[in-house]
Amino acid sequence: MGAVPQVADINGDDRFDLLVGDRNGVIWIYYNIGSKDSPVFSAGVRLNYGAGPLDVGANSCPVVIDWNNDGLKDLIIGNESFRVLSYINTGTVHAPIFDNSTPYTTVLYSNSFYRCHPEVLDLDRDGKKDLLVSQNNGNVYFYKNLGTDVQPYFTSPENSLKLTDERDLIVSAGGAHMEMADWNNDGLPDLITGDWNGNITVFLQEAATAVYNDTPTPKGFLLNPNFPNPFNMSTVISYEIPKAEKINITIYDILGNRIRTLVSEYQSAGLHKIQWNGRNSDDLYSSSGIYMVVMQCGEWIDRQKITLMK
Amino acid sequence: MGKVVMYVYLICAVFQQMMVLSQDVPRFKAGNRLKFSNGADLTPGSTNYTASPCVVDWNNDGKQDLLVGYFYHGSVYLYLNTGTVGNPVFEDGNYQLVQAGGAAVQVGYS
Repeated sequence: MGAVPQVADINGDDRFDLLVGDRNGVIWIYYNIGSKDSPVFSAGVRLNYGAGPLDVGANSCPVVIDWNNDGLKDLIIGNESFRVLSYINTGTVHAPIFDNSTPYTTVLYSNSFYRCHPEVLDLDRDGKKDLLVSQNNGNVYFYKNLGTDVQPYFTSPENSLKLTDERDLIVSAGGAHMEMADWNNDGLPDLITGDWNGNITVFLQEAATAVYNDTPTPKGFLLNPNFPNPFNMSTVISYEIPKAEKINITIYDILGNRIRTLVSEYQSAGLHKIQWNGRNSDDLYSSSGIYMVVMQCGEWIDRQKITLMK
Repeated sequence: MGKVVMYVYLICAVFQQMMVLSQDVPRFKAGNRLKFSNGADLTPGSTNYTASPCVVDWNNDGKQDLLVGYFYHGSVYLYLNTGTVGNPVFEDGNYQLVQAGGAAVQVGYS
């Protein structure tokens, strides 16, 4: 019993695999041996930590994320009692290894946590990944990253996510599991929750409260962090320009090859958004990996690292 | 001295965290329970217990689909989006158990 699914390309073959956390606290991997349009999975194998199964005690809730920005997929795992743990990948893109060479650590501990389900994303858009944790009681808590993007650091007290009327966001019926994804294609991450009764509830993010929607005419050029990042289907890049100018926004791979030009035109002052669907200039899907968004206007230039994860 | 610095740092960090929700974090609209197109709750049955959702483009059609793990079953169901990216639609009865190695995925006590 117990099944907490998560998809990620865990072996770097450009197809998403299925990971499922279970009641016993272990994580099962089902490798995708099918095609991009029609996934087929091989029988499950337990994810190992060293020579034995990775085991967080009970009710493992895994999230796959490059926690330390080294290009490898790490695991952030919530458990039954009190903890969110980090397991750093010490292997390769194609063969992840989790073992004592980089011991697992507790990212967050609270004795009020029970069946915690983590999510990792830069919700406050300060360029650093933050932590969300949902609880069996139905609350979803936000933890601001007080460290760096490479070395995240969190501390209590927890802050409940809020509704637009400032009440706490609570998943009725409790037993909350959750994930953030852009559900209505407005470029903002929404909260998709599951509850004790087996129902799924979507809480759409209120656009008016998004930090970057409050901007008056910007004082300077600004390339904001894209969202989501890492991304699977598409990501939205937002940027600000102080006056009408010719803007170039181009995606490059890490070797400097141009993948796709997203913008190359005169644009008006203000906030702009552009979506990248992961396709190259031939309209073919790019492979998983790290890419650079380069925004250029005259002599002004800025870059952002983005990660395509399938 | 080191301890004093550490405490000051810790107090600042806690204060920073307490101030977080004043402005930085977006708010959310009231929740909408997902339904099939016929209005029934999006579940595969009546005894599901805790559901754990995961959004994925399963069939590479550019639209988000939904995987849901259920505590009671220990299994994972797939709901394919037949609507659009901005307005997902899940047809009633259109769900399936996710298979692996020729059998339904099943995890839990063993």
